[in-house]
Amino acid sequence: MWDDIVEVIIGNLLYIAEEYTDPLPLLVMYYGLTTVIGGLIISRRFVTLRRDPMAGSFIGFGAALLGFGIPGIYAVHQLTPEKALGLVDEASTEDVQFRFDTNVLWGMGAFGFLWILLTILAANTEPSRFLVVVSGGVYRGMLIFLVAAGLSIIFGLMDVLNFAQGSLFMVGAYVAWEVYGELGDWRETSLGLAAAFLIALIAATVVGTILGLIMEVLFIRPTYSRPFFQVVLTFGLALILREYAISRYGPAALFNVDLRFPDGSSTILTGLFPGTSIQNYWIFMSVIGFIMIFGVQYLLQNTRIGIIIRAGVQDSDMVEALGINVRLIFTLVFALGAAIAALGGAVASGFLAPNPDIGDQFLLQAIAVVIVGGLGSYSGTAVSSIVLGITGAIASHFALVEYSSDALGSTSILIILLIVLYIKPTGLFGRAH
Amino acid sequence: MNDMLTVDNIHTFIGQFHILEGVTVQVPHNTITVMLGRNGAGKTTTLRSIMGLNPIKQGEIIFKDQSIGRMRPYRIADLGIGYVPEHRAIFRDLTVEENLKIAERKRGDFANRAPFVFDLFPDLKRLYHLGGGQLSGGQQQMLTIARALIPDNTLLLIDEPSEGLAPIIIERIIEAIEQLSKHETTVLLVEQNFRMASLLAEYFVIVEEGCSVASGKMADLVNDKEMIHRYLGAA
Amino acid sequence: MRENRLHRRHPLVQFLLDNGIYIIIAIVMWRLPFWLGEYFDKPITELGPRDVRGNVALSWMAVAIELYIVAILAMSYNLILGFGGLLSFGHALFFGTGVYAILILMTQYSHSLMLSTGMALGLSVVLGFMVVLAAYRIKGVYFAMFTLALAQVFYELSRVNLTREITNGDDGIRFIGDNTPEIGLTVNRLDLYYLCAIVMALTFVFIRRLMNSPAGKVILAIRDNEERTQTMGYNVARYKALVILLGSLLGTLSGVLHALSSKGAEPGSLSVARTVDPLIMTIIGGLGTNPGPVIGAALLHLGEVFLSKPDLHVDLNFLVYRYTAVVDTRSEWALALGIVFVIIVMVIPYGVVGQVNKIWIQVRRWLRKFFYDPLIRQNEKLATWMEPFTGEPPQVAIALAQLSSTESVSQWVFKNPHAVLTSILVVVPVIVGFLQFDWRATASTFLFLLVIIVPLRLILWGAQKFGFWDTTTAP
Repeated sequence: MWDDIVEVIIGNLLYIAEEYTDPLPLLVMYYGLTTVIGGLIISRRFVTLRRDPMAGSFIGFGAALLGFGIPGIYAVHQLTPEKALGLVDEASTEDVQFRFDTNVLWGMGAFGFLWILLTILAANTEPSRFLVVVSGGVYRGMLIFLVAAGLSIIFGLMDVLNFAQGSLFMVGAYVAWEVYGELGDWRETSLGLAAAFLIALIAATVVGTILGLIMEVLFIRPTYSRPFFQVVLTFGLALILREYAISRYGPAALFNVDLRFPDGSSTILTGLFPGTSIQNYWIFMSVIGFIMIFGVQYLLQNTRIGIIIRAGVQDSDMVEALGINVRLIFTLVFALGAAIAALGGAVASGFLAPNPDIGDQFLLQAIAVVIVGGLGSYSGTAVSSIVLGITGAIASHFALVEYSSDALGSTSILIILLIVLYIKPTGLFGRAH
Repeated sequence: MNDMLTVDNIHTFIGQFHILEGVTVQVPHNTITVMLGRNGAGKTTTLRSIMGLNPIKQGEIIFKDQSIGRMRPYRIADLGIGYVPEHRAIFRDLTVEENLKIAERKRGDFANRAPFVFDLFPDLKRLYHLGGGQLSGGQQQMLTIARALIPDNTLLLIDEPSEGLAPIIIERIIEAIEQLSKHETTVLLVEQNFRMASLLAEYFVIVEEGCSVASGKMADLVNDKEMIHRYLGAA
Repeated sequence: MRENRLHRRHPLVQFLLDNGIYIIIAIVMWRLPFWLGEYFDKPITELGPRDVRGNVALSWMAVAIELYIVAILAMSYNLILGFGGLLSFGHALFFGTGVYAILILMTQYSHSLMLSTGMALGLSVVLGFMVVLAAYRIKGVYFAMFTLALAQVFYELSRVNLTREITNGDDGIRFIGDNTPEIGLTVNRLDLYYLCAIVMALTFVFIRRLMNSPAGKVILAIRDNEERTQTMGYNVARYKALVILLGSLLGTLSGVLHALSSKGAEPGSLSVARTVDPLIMTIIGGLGTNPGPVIGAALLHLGEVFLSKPDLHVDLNFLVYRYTAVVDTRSEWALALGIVFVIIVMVIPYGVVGQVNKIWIQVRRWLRKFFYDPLIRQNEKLATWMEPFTGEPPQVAIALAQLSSTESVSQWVFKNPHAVLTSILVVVPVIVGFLQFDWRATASTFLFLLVIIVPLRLILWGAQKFGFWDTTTAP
């Protein structure tokens, strides 16, 4: 088996070297190089980006998409004024060592790994199939991310590994299903359908928030002095939620939320790209995921509560000594994490049929993403969920093609987790503490 | 009561260890009081107990005629006590700007105090957008003190500002603390560096094995070679 | 505490006090199949006469076998989690290794049972070493995630098409027809029952002895404070490796037994549920205690067996006239378990055993304060009766201890008449019961002797009180 894998990799490399006439792998390689090198250049230029593994590479990717290429990015580098360094006083330039934060290097390494995989995939598949695999991977990454986001913030700030996060995802899916079912009459018009779905999403988020508040105040707060039991406790809470779902809805999966009109004709969510094999819902899901990534990123980077959360991740005692009620912040953060997970479940219910295990399917991958991303590093979680999501999709694809086997997606993610933990026990973007 | 802060015979446990076994400190208004003692004597724990970070089991802490011994740390801080922890505990993942802004107690504190702070530590103005982790040790220490100056604090608890810094930077921090004292801020300082302590402080407290064993005017201590030798070693 | 006593108990008495309950349990385990057979023979059950291998008795024996297997699993998990302090979520890996290794080696390679077991244990050492290496570098929650991911990788690999030739995917492997090895264990349930019972008993004794040994004390010290133990000069890594490898070996052993009892391997034996079960058992029973995991395993397993029947008729006739509540426990059992689990973690984090210990210590302190201390001042005799509850050495035990060093037995008998009578009261019924092998014989002999001996003791007491019998002077 291993011989086969090594053979495939070497064969692919040789193939890329010889058959350079195929444009797709070259194009992918170009995008990859632009993303990584452009990201490095951009990060070097803007001091404020130098610690963020995500922003630089996204800008690089954006530049590549716009057709700038590396020369374009270099031009940006040359033309931007010194002020872009983010320094108030020009005289102090020598104070700042031109050294990348290791986070950015690890981030670029992760993206480099992803682009190598993509190039191999591109060299082995039809262009249309390539797009299907990649968009499926992004969708998978976003699903994982929606479970992982709350996990990451809660884990980072409060050192609580919340095993109930997957169950909150499940709760969101069921609540959305129920509410949408209640509003079945509204589905006649497209406006009513959209409103019903929106109300379902909001209801799921509200229920998730309330559940999160209850869990934090009743269960998590009394056990801060016993971290081990806290982990075990969330395990128990997950068990209760799951069993409650089974006793209420039965162990089998329900039907997913049907976003078509009652007569079966497509709405914008189900029929945006008719005729392609890319699921339209994947795109919707990915858009929601990216909105969440950047929304929470904005919350963390640019608001006062975000600053408090980031400071609390490092030293919550000191934050409290500055006159901030950290316990209240903890409760809010826990509720926020629960809300994101519930929203994720609600969004996913349009494509995945709600079932008692819907959350736990992604929980382990979400934990893998959080740990690979590094403790308390939100952008690390975002980057690694995209990278690992696409990696999982590619692994599934190759397993299907080469061995007619399935389910290797999550296995490959877990194997990557094991390797990363052996190499860097704090995760790619995490700091030892 | 004349004193701004009175710590009356406090006992503190960390886990099951009895760390403070009766510490008494009095900090008069508008002075600099220094707490001296060997490593592990309980100086840092005393400061953390005053802040409420290590809650006390017995005893009483009175700040401006108000008992703060059983309050949560954020309420204590709200009364106007600023804490400068040891080991330069700035937030490494936050920029200098964010490190200062997080200390705002009410909106506009930062804008009001920024001129004063940047006047005191001109370096920080240059490093405004840098991450806390990218600063040098001295710059981090200045940031820690500056952070405590952003809100309207009347009492500052400063823990070992000279630890591991070059002499030239220690001079600057001494200058800064002196200036603070002129701006009607009371300071309770923990310091290992006896020279620095004797330059700055008016009053002293000596802590030994979790108990306060001596206190008085700094001028008296400087001349009392025997006491210095007994409690502080050959300093 | 024991060192502070004025009088040391006789070693035999101490042994019985420490281990009596385990000896009783061992006897119950030994007799259980026969009791089951006897019980289900009776016509009142309307099941017809059946022998030990009859269906009903057999199903109850299967329950007992499974109970022993999960108890071994829980004990091995407790070794890693409760004593080693290593939060591992991947114990299913070791269990599943045992199950799969036996099935694969015996059905596909036709190895003998002993060789297969040996190879399974060897494999678990290899896997254990992977975890050991991780434990050196990876701490806390990260370690938990590492083990969880490791186990999950094997779980998923056991299901996919890629490995279908070896593991047969979701269908799993079974001993079917010609595949079934011609060994007594898979055919004769009684043999398997005793094998599991003995392995469980040995595991218990082994872990108990290990934790009472100097090495066990170091293991506990590492759990409580790793840095300090390291500074004291102990090789922390070696002890961690010891704990993990022993845990993995015992986990694999329980997997091997499970393979023999269920005659099959399926991916479920590698799934997270196989980690969660021992985790819940350990926590409910008592984390880091010796009997805890066994008690937890018994509570959970028997609870599941009794409560997940379709409808449980709760007979409340004795409270309310003609009232029988019907509870559909099948679907609610897991939910109730989750709720009970959360409550236990919140309220009594050290489980049943931890809580009982805590209460017992409190009760003893209370008894001593309010009863024993005032009593011993007023009346030594009454205090003697309180001794078993207050933890003081019983007069009888002291007397027995003196017996071993006394010169003449008749003198000793004269000096300790109460001890003699009490010993007769305790020992004779037990001997009679053993000879007839009937607990009713024990009970009736005890009652008979009680009727004779209590007045005798009263007379004796009066004689001593009024000076007719001076025990201080020998004849």
